[in-house]
Amino acid sequence: MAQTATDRRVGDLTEADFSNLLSGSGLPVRIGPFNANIRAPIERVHATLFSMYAEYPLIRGDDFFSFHTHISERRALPAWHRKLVRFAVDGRVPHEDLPAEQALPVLEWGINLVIALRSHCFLMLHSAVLERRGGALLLPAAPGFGKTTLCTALAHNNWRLLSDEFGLIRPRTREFVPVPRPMGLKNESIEVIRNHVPEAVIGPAVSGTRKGTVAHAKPPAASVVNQDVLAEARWIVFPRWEEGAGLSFEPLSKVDSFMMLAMNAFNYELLGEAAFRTVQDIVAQSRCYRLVYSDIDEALGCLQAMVDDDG
Amino acid sequence: MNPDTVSQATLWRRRSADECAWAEFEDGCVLYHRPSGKTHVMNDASVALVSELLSEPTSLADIVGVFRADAAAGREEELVDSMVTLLLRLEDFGLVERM
Repeated sequence: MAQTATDRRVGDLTEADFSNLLSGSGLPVRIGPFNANIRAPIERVHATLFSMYAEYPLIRGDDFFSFHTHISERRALPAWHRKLVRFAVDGRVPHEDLPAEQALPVLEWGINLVIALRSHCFLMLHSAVLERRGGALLLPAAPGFGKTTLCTALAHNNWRLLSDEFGLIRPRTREFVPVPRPMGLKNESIEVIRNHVPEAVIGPAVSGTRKGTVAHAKPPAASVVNQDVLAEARWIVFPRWEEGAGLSFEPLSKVDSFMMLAMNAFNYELLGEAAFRTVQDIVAQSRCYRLVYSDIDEALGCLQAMVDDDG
Repeated sequence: MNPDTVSQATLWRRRSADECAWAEFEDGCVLYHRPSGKTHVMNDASVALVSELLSEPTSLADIVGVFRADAAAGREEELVDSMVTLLLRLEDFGLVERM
């Protein structure tokens, strides 16, 4: 993918120039390996987007883009008084319009959707990925298992965020490619992060979405500034948050880890044997565990001890 | 298929070794079947059958004989049933075939 970043970042723009780009030709920005053009002529979301994307590098407006995304408001028919927001990518509308109040999450989900549907040059794991001491920690998990909450806490506790959602790895390579994005917190996890990570920058909470109440946490600046630094897998931890559960951190067999990782891959079957070999390599070089927790501080301490034990 | 309808004289053999890719770990094996694109966890008996024992056509009786030493005494019938069940499953996966 073309990555002709300029030496400027979004935060170098004035807010007026930023708004003009969002409302006009689009904000040209690099997100991990993707050149994104983001159009969002909805002024009430501009301040939040300016904050969330401040560290992302700008790219030339005439460069090749991985995708062009666009959110826009329109009136519902026949209920003319209702406003809706439409997400489009490269001129196509992949899903129904949603209430206009959900403009921010619609944009973020939309970008994630584009990545998930198109990025088959990578094996894509449904996993958070963070780096510490040069090694990547994978947190593969189904929705609702607390992956993003744990990831957000880790990202603000000396772990470099590569992604809260996508473990991207080129087939038959060993290194994960960062794609740091605003992290989508849901429902109770919003307050959990506000309490445990008061320094986290969290956007406005939007209620009534299909996922409940959602708010996005800004990726730490260092994660975005270092989004070109790949990391080789070293630990795989399958997390599950369970209310009231005592901490449980158990080694997991390589065979079980293989199958669970493969099941958490968006495009394992599509990539075929290349995916099989890639998962084999990841599992072979990693220590594998299952983590059950209810207290996020205990989980953080446990993962820190895992790193310390490795020396 | 009902295990009772599989004769002890039936010959079994693995399909072409080229159809399989193996991932071996210290605690087990995972197999990728190229024609179907499916991935399977292989227990010890499956590994033994597919990788070695059935490289040549082998009767059910001979297969049972190989595993008899590891079976509990007096459990011959259970051993036969379990081997037939396993062979039928491996056949469903496309890993072995009857001749």
